[in-house]
Amino acid sequence: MLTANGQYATIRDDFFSTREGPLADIRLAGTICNACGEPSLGTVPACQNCQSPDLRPATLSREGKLFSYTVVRNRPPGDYKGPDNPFVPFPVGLVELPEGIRVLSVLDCALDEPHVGMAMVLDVYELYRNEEGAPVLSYRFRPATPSTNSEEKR
Amino acid sequence: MRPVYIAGVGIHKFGRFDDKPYTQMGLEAATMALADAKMPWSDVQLAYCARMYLPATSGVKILGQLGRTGISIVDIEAACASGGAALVQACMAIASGAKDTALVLGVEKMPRGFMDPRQLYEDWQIKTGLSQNPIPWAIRARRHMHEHGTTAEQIAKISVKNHRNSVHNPNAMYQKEFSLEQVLNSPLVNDPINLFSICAPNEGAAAVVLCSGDVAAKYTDAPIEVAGCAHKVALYTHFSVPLYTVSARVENPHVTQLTCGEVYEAAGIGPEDIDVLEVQDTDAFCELEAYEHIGLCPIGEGGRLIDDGTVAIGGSKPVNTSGGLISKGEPVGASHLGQIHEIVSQLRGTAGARQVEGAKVGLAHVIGAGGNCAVTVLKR
Ligand SMILES: [Zn+2]
Repeated sequence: MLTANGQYATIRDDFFSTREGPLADIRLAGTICNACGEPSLGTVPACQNCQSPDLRPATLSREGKLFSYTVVRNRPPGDYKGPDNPFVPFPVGLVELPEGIRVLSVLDCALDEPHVGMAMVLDVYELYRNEEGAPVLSYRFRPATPSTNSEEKR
Repeated sequence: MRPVYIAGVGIHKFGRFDDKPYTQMGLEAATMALADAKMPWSDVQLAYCARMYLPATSGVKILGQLGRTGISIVDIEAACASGGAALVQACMAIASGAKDTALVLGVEKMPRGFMDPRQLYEDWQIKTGLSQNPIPWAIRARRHMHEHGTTAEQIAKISVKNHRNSVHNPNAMYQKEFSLEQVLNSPLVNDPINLFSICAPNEGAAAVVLCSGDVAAKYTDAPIEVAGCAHKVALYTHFSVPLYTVSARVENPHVTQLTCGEVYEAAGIGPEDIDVLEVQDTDAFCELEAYEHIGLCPIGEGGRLIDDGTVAIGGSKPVNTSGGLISKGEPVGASHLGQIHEIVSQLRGTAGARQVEGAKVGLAHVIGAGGNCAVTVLKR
């Protein structure tokens, strides 16, 4: 079920290249600065690097490499929408995309699986259902090559 | 610009004081600082109150109890650097000649456990679970381990050192030693950061009375000079709460490096001249990284300073003689002024069992959400 205008609801609309069609075709979106080339995730009023307002829309690559990571061991505070009751610990990391931006993301893999330099791929998924029962999309990354010997598969 | 001096300091113990309102904690710290400076409240020409989680006009509510003198009293918030941001404002007023005296108060009474994430994060970050404060530090720590070979033991040793120092600080929340095994075996919060290597938000207050050289002799015969004091916000892209992207193309100097640079220039010193330091230890890795950014060692070598004892009391660069935030807890508005209280005690030679012999120059450093950083250098 989509929202009234036929588009998916998302955690932040400007992060996504489209809100229609198969989830596998949706990419992360942002801008690239025409002055210095710096990319952003989502729209920004000015380049965060050089302050130029001269920006063009951009679609970011689906594939990247894990720059660093950690694990969220306790339930995040407030209105957390991930697996809850019981809470399931999950890895998060910074995924470096070829455009030159590292994106903080939930990682869809076992807690002991992440390692620096690991190849990752985007996964646009339903995080939760809103009050109207419509899916709300978010992004995460998962290993490009599925693990074979993970101990803590969640 | 003319020199600025500290005439008095005061502190209300950091900890949990369920039945005590912030107005009382702040009043006690302010009263202690005024008494230490032998300055009547009626002589104070300007006041700032640093706080993050308290109601509007907290400064007026606290200091107004001393009597309405009609001076400007303004609340200031800059996350973990709130106290430093307030100190900068007061120092500028005195250095410029606009005022001869000022009182800077920091006070906080924070909720138990995780803070309300809406103070720092956007809705989508809370919903996805990217809203835990140690995440950026943990990710930096993991990368530091990868690039420089820093170990979980080195990070844990910093926590052991700070807890060891805290035993002698009656103003710390925890005054208890922990072994390396106890720290390493405490539950992981955000790997590799574990529970006993992390500071707790709590309650407390600290205050500083400042004056110009023209009037210093009237109040104190042992003034401490504020040789440099700066507050800055990080350049693009800073690796802190509420992090969601980091540039892989642009690497600017870290905000601690930039703030220290400004303060070193103003004070006419370098890191080699510092005898004692209080630095932000939101978690133990945060302190390790600060060694590098303050300039105590080259980038990547922070772990060596804890291994070889450089940063212990008795080493050449003792860090967090007070026990640090890991032992004291972090009442955000009060934390930098609490550091100033410790450095002043060290420079006066009144730090007791924590004393660094012959300390003449001290540095205090805070860093936190939004890339807010403040650094103060004091000289006797
Ligand atoms: Zn630009």
